[in-house]
Amino acid sequence: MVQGTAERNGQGLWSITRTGSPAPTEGGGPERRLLEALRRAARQPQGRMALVLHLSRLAPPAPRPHHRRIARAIMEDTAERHEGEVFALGNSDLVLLCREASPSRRPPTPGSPPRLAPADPGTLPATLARLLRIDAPDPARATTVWPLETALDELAAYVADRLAESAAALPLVAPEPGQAGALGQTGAVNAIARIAEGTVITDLLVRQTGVLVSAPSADGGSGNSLRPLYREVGFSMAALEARLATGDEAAADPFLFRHLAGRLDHRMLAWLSNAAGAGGGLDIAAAGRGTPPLHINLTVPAILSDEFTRFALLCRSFGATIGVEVALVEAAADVAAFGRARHVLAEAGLVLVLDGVSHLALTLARPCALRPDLLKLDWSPRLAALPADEYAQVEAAIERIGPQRVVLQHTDREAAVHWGMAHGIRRFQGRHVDAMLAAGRTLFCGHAAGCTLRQCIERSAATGPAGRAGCRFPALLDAVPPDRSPSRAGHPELVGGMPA
Amino acid sequence: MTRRSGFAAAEAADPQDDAALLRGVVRDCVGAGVARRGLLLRLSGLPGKLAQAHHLRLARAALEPLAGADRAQLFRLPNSDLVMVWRGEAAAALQASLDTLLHLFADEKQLLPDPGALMLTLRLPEDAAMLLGVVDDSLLPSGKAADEHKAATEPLDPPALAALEAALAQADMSRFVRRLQICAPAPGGKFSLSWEKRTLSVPELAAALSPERAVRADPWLFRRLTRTLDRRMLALLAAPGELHGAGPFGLDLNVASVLSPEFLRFDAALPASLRGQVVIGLLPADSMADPAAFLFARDFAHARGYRLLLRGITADLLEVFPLRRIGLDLLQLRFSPDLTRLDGDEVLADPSRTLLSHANDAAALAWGRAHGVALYQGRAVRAG
Repeated sequence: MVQGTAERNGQGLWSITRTGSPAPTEGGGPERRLLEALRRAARQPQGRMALVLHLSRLAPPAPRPHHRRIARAIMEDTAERHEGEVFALGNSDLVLLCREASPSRRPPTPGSPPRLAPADPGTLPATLARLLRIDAPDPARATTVWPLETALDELAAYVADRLAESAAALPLVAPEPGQAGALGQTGAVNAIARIAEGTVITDLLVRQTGVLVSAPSADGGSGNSLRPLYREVGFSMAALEARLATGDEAAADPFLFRHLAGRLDHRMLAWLSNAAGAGGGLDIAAAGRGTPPLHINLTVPAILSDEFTRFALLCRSFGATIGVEVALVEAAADVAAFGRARHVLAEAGLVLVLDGVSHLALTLARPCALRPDLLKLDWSPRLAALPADEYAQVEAAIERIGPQRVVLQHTDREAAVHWGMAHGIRRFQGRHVDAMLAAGRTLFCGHAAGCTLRQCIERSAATGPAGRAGCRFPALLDAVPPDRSPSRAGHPELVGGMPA
Repeated sequence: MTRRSGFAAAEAADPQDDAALLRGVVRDCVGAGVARRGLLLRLSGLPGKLAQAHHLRLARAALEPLAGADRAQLFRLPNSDLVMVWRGEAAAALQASLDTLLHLFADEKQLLPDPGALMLTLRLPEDAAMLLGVVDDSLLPSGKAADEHKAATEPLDPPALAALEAALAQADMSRFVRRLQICAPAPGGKFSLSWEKRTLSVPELAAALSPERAVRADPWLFRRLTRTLDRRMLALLAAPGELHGAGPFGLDLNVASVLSPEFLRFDAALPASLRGQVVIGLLPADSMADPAAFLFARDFAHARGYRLLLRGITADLLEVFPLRRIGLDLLQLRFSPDLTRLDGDEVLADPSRTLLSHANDAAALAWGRAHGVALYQGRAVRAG
């Protein structure tokens, strides 16, 4: 790794020596300009300071473009009023060099962020920390303040590191949404809809199983058991975008994405109607014969369409109680229509699932007032480290809707299942669950030795023959294993140590 | 300048001449800084069945109360739009005319869901650019703009949206700007102005830029369009001198727009006297679409001194989005008869921070007063 050091020379100027990296390019670069500005400031460091906003420390997808844009505007406002300058470094950090706040203007007391334009360097760290608290929960890590008079060495070392980085790599600054790609966002959405409307869709669909985790049985079972509850089927945006090579253009704009979802609904309903009774992973009628029911994602207008009325009648004729998942944003955009959709589903005897509920949504609103049958809460590592007030709000929301009606989704690690179990949640969906189920299948598959766990997970997620190629026991991908769940078969480590 | 207040004179005059005369009046107002009030009746926007001769005659007659206002002048434009201009407030006469017009089309909900959209009150010289645009449109061959507006039945799709967004980048938006009064109850059963909401007239804008498309047919593409409109509006407000002497005002924005470069430029251009006097309306669905961005925008706007309004709340949404939980300052509740069926005391947690919109009749005002609502917007509310 490139290391940098900074030394003060006898004339009070700065020299940066670096080890293990090529010489910095002359001219250009914000890092180089920061160094030059620092050299000038070091001649009279009294009363001057540097503030570093460590956007590079935020966990992806942060820092997002608006983080950089707004933070920079606020810092430049301060720079303008305090003889300063802002440097946007290649690693996304922002550095403000300016005159310190006058002694009469003290920073606010903790918990009382300023309400008006924050132009004072003394209040700036608190303002920035509050803005970024969702993505940078520890405010002490978000900003660093170095008075030039007393902390010049630390600052110089920081600048040296950034210089070394900038010499070693190109800056990684994400483009603004909508700027990349020849198609643009609207073009990408239209092209994706046309692909989905014009081709066989099984290769574009993926599915994932939601499970019920049960506590050990009273007859001496050593671990928890998994029971598949449903199989959610949806379009794979990655597969669709891969066909267009559009990157994430279509998913980048939430409004265009909802429009796309509406167009894909019709394709999904038509396909499922045709596949009903034909057997296979997309057969709505297969539930009850050893496989769990399907869950499909629909928009509110699709549920209120004549097409869905016919589909619901088909479900009834097969006795299939499928689940219909509606995104929270869709419900909130037209809650009256959502109420009508809820009525339609209740009349048809189908299950209404409110999808895409983040813990932040639970702190901002009361999604349970939309009265779904199930609510899918998004797992986030932040859940395990929420501030006390937000934690209390999330806990109260789960209690209000009832943990038995909450599915914790995107459970990509064991910690997620632990968190859910500790809050009374027993329903889970996500990559960690996929792995547990795949491990369970290997116990019953005579060909398991020829496959990896990852292959088994991916083949189970596929709905078409292409995605299942290589599996020599494809029926097991659709079926519920016989009455020997993985944990009962002696694999408590799959969900090891979970509280009951 | 010819001074005409007689309705018979307007009937007899050549609409082409009227267009030229009105243009002269507007330019005089701008040149001399003379204040005038006005009312625009967009009769060219009436559906065919409601645009019969007797409808037009009755609509014109509804303007009679304003004929008595100081220096009142009526102009009949070539596309059958009417413009009345006068000096002073004439609030009672204006209200009488508006009431008559609303009553005229009250039973035509199927053909004309929002008759209020046909009527625009004006202030000169502030609305001069818009009014000159209206005059220009009226001179299009055979009332082209209005005809195309009526024919807009094809839903917006992504390619059409992209084309419309490109057209918006070049269009002069000032002619589409409208102002709505937000008022607080004042002594004597009157109202005082709290702020003016500045908004773009989407029907007129769509008629001018994408006449063959129904821009609201796809709700999500329309939301995307509103984001583009937000940015054009912000650019307009950030223009030099645009906010000079302006009073408190409000804007409806998407969350993404609050975080846009255009908002930063608007914020930089905002006069110090207006800091803390601007209300930004946000939709609750935006908070659910991207809660992290919503929280960032909320805290940023608060730090810059903006007041935030949770808009578009209906009776159904009150329970889902409690104002205090979402952390905004004001709640805009849309009046509907559904509200009257909710339980009395528990309907509004914060009536002092509630704005009742669509307060178009006495029933709405009575409901608001009974629940202690502090702010009102609608056709039944006018400052003065």
